[in-house]
Amino acid sequence: MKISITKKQYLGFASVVAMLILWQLLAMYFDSDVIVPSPGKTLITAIGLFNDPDFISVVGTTIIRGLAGFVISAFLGMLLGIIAGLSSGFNALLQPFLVTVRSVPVIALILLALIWFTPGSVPVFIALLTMFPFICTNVIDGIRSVDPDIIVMAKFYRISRSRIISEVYIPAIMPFIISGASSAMGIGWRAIIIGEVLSQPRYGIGTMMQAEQTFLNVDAVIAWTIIAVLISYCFEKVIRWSEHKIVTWRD
Amino acid sequence: MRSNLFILIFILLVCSACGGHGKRSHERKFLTIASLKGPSSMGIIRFIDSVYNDSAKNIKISIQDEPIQVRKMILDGSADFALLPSNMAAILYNMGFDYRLAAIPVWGTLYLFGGDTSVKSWEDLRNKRVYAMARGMTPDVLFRFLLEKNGLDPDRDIILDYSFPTHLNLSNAVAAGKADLAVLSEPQVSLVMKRNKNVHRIFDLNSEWNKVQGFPIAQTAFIVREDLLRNDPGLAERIISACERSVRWVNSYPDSAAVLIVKYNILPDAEVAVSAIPGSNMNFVRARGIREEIEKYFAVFYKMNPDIIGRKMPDENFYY
Repeated sequence: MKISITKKQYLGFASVVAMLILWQLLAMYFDSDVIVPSPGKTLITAIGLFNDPDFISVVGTTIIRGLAGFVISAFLGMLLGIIAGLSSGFNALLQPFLVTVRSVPVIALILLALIWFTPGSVPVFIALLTMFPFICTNVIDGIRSVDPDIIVMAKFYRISRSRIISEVYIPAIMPFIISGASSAMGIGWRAIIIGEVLSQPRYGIGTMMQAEQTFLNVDAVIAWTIIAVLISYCFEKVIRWSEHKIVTWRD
Repeated sequence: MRSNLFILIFILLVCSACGGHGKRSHERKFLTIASLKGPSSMGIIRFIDSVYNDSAKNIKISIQDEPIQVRKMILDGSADFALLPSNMAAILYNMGFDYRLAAIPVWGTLYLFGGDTSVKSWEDLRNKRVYAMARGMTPDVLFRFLLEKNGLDPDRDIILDYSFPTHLNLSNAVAAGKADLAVLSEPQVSLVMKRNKNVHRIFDLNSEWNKVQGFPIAQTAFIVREDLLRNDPGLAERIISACERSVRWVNSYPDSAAVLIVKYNILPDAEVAVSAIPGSNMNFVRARGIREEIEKYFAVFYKMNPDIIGRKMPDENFYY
């Protein structure tokens, strides 16, 4: 067990190194900071960003937008998902809506949101619409995965509906929610940043990326990108960690 | 495992070596002029017309919708001449792209306009909501500067709204009556005024700027590739002076110019073009004589955000 983890880590490390080498080669090939800046220069720029007095506001605002979108979509997704999982009639009603929301191009949503909402709330709205279907669909699948015999048995012993939900359904759908949340977060961050680039709120990673792109500071665009990736990675870790906790709790 | 990594690196090296001859040499049979769909192209419209009618076909004019498309043609070196916002020209020069500023052909096309009839002075703007395009971009910075100079704090005394980030979004919002006050440039101003008769110009930001700075807004740059200026200055001069003559002609004969502007699809109709020509402050002035004035303009940006001009003032070699 221990050996396989170190091997995994080694492979992960090798893959990061390979990406950096590829990046360095591209930088050397183009030999221009305004096309592909070198990893070293970008790292210096990224460190410089941390010293920017606005850094906390910029990153904090983007994270708050992400969390707001996530909390709202998790709440709606679980609520509607549980109802739809239990009632096939409601599920039939909900499915076309989910399919529509999932297949509308993100950019179309953003263009409409730009007309409907203030710049700061556009990214939240986009995040909500991109994350909600993932969580909802996974909750529905989770509910359906519950062995119907257990429910029949529980009902036979006259166990209350609320106890069935909290002791049978919720533990059963937890892994589904976690995996839904993980995919939702991955897509959600990207959607938020696209939303910020186009809506130009006062603070936001996307706002900064757009400005740096205009000023041809390619290293700063990449540095902000790396920060966005790191945020996404941290949240992924948090979700995985909470999954671990929940699984241990269940055992 | 380790050998796999080496194989990967080897493949990458081979790939990059194969791509090596992709670096272009600048041996081309024709000259390329990159321009913007707007006042930049309106001014040189007679030159554009003469190029299209010329049988030799040794000049190619590429009219782009957005400044970043023109910028791309500088980044990859495909443009020999380009018209683009002057701050963008300064950024490119400061980043080491060998282009020099030959002239300033457009001098401020920005207007505060809209359907709000109550605004007569700067003070009337207090606590009003004014829509501007992208934050931190030229129109925004210029407007903020004028607000400050006229005793208004851009962040406190007025609500600057960036809900409509592109000139198309903002034009539509003003035309639809969703934005009562907006900072926008020609020819969008004339286009919107044609669609919505309740909308009118409130301030000519160019003349307001002139009042404060004693010199109009050096908005658009006409830049030329350095090696062309060095290797064939005669050819470069012929094209620069053809553009200069074109701008003069457009100002003298706006009705004939309007016909050409519609013909080359710069604007949809002649009526709008006739209104937009005087509003666009086109005047082709060679850069070498006005370095000080251009620097004064750049200094405004530099003070607000050095990044807007590429973190430093362009040196004297920028001015041709």
